[in-house]
Amino acid sequence: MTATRSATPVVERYSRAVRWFHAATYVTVLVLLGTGWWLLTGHEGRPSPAARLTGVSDVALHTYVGWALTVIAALGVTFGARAAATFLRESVRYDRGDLRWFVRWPAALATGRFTRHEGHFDPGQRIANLALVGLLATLVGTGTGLAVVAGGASYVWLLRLHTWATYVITPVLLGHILIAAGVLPGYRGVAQAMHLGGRLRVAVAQRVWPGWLERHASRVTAAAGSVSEPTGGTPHG
Amino acid sequence: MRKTVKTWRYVAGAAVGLALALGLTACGGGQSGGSSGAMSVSVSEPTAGSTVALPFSVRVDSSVPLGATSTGRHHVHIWFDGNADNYQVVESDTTQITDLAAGQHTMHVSLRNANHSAAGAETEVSITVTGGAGPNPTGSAAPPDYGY
Ligand code: HEM
Repeated sequence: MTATRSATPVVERYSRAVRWFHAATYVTVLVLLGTGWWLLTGHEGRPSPAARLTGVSDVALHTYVGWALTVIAALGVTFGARAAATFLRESVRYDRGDLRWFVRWPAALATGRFTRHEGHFDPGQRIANLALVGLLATLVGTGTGLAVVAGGASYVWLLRLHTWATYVITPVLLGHILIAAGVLPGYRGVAQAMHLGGRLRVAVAQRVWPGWLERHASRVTAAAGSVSEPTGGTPHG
Repeated sequence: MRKTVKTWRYVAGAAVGLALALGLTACGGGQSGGSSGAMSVSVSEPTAGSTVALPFSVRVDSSVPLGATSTGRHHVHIWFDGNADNYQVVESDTTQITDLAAGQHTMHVSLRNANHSAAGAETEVSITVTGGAGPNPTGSAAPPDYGY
């Protein structure tokens, strides 16, 4: 559902369950990224700020939080199967004209004048989604492997894959955070899609996800504007 | 759509099953480190009860070859007194301790799997350090300098 606490028209792009899943994922991923880089840069045995705060060694913290992420992912695909299917379908989507979106994208980062696209995600987000899901799956798979195997030849390979996936995912995550935080002028206001009650300004949705907003609005109108649906809520304006 | 949902449920079921299976294996097998037989670790230098001056060498004898984590071999964690979370990683038979408060200490030596889980072999040695950073009023050792 959507709330309008101010005169600004807002739209709910993600349900509360999706927003909590996203938050749980990024809290665990950030701890894993931090402790992982701490270990990778040769600080093992010296407690990081996170280890001091929790009183748990970095290795143990990394492994416990790794299991937590594994459980979150398993719960997500089990109880959010429909949302996960929609997410994947929308992430592999390709429409004519999407290449033009990429050509205009660098300038649009500053101006906000994106080429229109029809997806739930913009074409750049779709690539980032696929990269993140693939790399996180690799990290969870190899990470649980490292926790279980403990040593030997298979450990060496799992560790190599785990480390390389870390190198690749780090810039992708940083890019995602930079864009999703709404720091760049073109993406200003997008953070509310996932945070602070999910009240995204309609003008922002119009600028960044125009095709989705139109479909969403017409679905809501068809449903007499009363009940919220799986991927979002009601645009108010 | 219905078919997609069904397929997803199978995928999700398989993922949960795999996670649980891995979890169970981890609980049952994490300590063995993939090596068979009982493992042991001991300290041949410094000997128990000896007095040493900084820096001093530690020589460990392990029943399994030691090496860097990236080789998949075991390694050793050394820490002093109660500071189990503040340890030195030792990937060969010898290492140097360069920073420790003067006074009496218990040196803990723990054999570890490559993933740092305990391999099930531990020992401890009491030593007295002369000179160094001076007597530590709290009785706990200063964090060792790992030389990174
Ligand atoms: C965003 C996700 C993750 C990142 C960025 C990450 C990163 C890292 C890094 C950089 C290392 C150190 C490698 C080295 O010392 O050479 C590491 C080690 C390890 N990771 Fe992860 N990891 C992630 C997820 C996981 C998960 C889901 C698990 C599952 C339990 C896990 C379990 C482990 C284990 C057991 C080790 C080896 C022991 C250790 O050095 O702590 N990791 N990880």
